[in-house]
Amino acid sequence: MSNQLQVATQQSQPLSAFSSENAFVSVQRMAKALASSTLVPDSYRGEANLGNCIIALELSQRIGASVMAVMQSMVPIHGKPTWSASFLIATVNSCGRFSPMRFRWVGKEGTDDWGCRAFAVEREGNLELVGALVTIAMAKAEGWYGKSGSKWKTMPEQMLQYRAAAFWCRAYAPEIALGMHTSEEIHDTQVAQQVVQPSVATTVTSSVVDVTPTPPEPKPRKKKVEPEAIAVAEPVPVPEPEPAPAPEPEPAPVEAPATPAPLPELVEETVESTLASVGATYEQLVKLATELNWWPTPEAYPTANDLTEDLKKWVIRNKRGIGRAMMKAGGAL
Amino acid sequence: MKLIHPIDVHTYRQHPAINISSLKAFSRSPAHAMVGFEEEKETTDAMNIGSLLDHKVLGTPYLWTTSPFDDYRTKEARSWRDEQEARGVTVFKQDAIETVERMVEAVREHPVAGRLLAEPGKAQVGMFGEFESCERKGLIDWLPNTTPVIVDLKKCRDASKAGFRRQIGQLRYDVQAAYYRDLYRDITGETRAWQWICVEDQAPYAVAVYQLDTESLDKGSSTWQSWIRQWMVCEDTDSWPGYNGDSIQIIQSPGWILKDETLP
Repeated sequence: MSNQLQVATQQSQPLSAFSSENAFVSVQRMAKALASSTLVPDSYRGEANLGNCIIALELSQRIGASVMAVMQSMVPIHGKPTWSASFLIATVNSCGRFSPMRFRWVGKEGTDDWGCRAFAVEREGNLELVGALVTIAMAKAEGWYGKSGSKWKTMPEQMLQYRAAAFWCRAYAPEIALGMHTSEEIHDTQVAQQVVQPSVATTVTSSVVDVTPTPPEPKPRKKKVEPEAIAVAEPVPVPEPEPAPAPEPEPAPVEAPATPAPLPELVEETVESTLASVGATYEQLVKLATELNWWPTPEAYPTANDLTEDLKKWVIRNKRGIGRAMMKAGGAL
Repeated sequence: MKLIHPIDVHTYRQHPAINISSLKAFSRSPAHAMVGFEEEKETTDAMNIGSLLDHKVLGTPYLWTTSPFDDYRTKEARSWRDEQEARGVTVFKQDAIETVERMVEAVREHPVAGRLLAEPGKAQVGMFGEFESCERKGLIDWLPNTTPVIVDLKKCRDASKAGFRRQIGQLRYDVQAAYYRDLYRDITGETRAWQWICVEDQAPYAVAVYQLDTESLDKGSSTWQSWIRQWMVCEDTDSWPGYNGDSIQIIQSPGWILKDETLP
């Protein structure tokens, strides 16, 4: 065993604009130069946008990217800074810690089950890092798909990849995104929230002291106000909330030219592949389902093909729990 | 995606879907979570008291009996206790029953909690839904028919606002609340507020009702989602790292020490 002393060294951090007054003055000078350039995007141009330039300089130093790359790739949506997904992927690919990001596809194209996961191999340790699954069903359930003008309808493959990449970055390399979402995410979720909010406002936000079975008419949502506790006391008259002014519509972010997508690897999950992934046989599954009362009549399904579509989906959805239950049952199976 | 009412606790527990109690361990590390997955949680006296309280306040099914013995030193007493346990009956001593009855009385007499529980509703509602193609489950204590809230009955040592707030942070009740709120919304399309009825387990058996604010629920929402994603990755790769991996990390004194200029 090596007796070499391991010492954690504090890496010298790049100069932050906010570390000292001198640093700020110096960064401000750089920001002025950038703001006077005609080559920077509009949101960084001119005296009024000096602050944006300072933030771009700060971010570029933190993530080790050029300030121009940050300016081109940071898109303000509804006042929030966001990254373009292609920038995040490029940053992961070029950071040296991971293999280039790739995508693993599941489900059938054109169906709600169609989706993908991003994955990459961490070079140190040779560990494959698999991101969360993003499917069309998820996009629909989250309200990203249904909004008017949604790119999910016109470019589903690219949106699945972008969202899977964003999820991957958040799980494995959050320092690259610095907590910021991608422009596509913010665009989707902002609109999705607007779609979902009225029901929230009805039950929670509008200070309803409601014990009557009939819910009040949905009211236009005021700006975010902390709800009062919903009491079971006598009903109290509720002042009519004023309608909130409609938010300024933001122009849709301009997509960076699409990089050619890697050839998708089509893998459809089946009961057999699910069981294989947890190292179990169908017979073991039936035995466990009988013992733990998972299905009403397990004997009615002698083979995996006999399972109803609902039960097949149930097995796939619960594969991790089934794997764990198999492990616990161990030799009993 | 469905609500099941009534559901017996055994059926609910046997279901292989992930639940929030298992996910909570991810607040420490995946390694801690794995221990929780692998080891059966032993039922403690405190948990039994909680179950009896639920039974008496909400009417949830629970098999219990009072012990006719003061202790279990004799063979006869031990044999009786073992027989009850084998039948799935939990044995309580008389003083424990009296404590629970006082707690029940305090809850019922509380002006808000009493009214909330007196209105028609459903106790012990099982919820089964999906998140990113993975099944998740939850068990609601009390779902009133008209007041749009989900109610969780909590036995605690300190039901004061400050005391319970600490407990929210320590036991991540905020994440649990968000997990349940979101699951209920996914299934029914209705967003309900989250309220706790807290009752102290010592005299004067003080009761308080709290509603978690929206900001905390929204934060909790992103937390459970991150835990469930971590869990899926850990299960799929069979990798359960602890705190630091193989690296040495720089650690700093707590902020209050660094900020306190009066300290030498």
